[in-house]
Amino acid sequence: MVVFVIANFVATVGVRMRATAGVSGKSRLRPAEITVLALAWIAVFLIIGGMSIAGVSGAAIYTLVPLTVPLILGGLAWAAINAARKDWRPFGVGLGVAVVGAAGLLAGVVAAWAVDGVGLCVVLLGSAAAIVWRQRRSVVRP
Amino acid sequence: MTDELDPLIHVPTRLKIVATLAALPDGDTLSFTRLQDLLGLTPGNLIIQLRKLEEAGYLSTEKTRNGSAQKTTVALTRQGHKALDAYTQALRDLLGGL
Repeated sequence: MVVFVIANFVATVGVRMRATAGVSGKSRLRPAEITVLALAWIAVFLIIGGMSIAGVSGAAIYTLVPLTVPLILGGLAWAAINAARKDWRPFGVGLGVAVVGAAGLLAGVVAAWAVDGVGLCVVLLGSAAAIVWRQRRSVVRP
Repeated sequence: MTDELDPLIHVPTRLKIVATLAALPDGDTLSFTRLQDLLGLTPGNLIIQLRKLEEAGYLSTEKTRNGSAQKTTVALTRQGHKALDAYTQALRDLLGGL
């Protein structure tokens, strides 16, 4: 699993770097924005560590929190970054992901997987539909 | 009907340039060297084509200097996007009956 995650990360970063080589401007993340995303990711581990020290049950710490809190914090961070950029489609995606995470948290350990899975599908399909709608308004389709 | 095809964009090399730049997200620019790599053009040929498109207001170029290195970036202007939209529509109309 760890190998798969690392391989996936390396492949994703490699493909993205190749695809965006020579591109600069609004779509590139600035250092401050990367810091915000990294802090959101680090905060998840701090929360897990804090809950572990506080003696919260293992099911919550190792199942519910990793399933939902990264979506809430990552989604909110992404929404905040895109609100600052006035880029409203990714802002909506970030907010949607955060709402899905919150719904998964409220649904509990057993239902969190289903809520996250269905919720993320809805958010990502909604985002894809928004992109298609925007492209169809233009005659030129990339 | 072919009068509607913008002769400035209709040249294959310039059509490739405009289509490539149109694929960039709003507010983004592409470096001269990357554009050259993507299209397989010589620097001289690319400069000539870019100049023609820039003179027509279809694209903007920006030169930035970082120490001794100079970087040139290019982007399609709103007018360039509109021209490509019009060109594509004219082409669709022209070929629609086939």
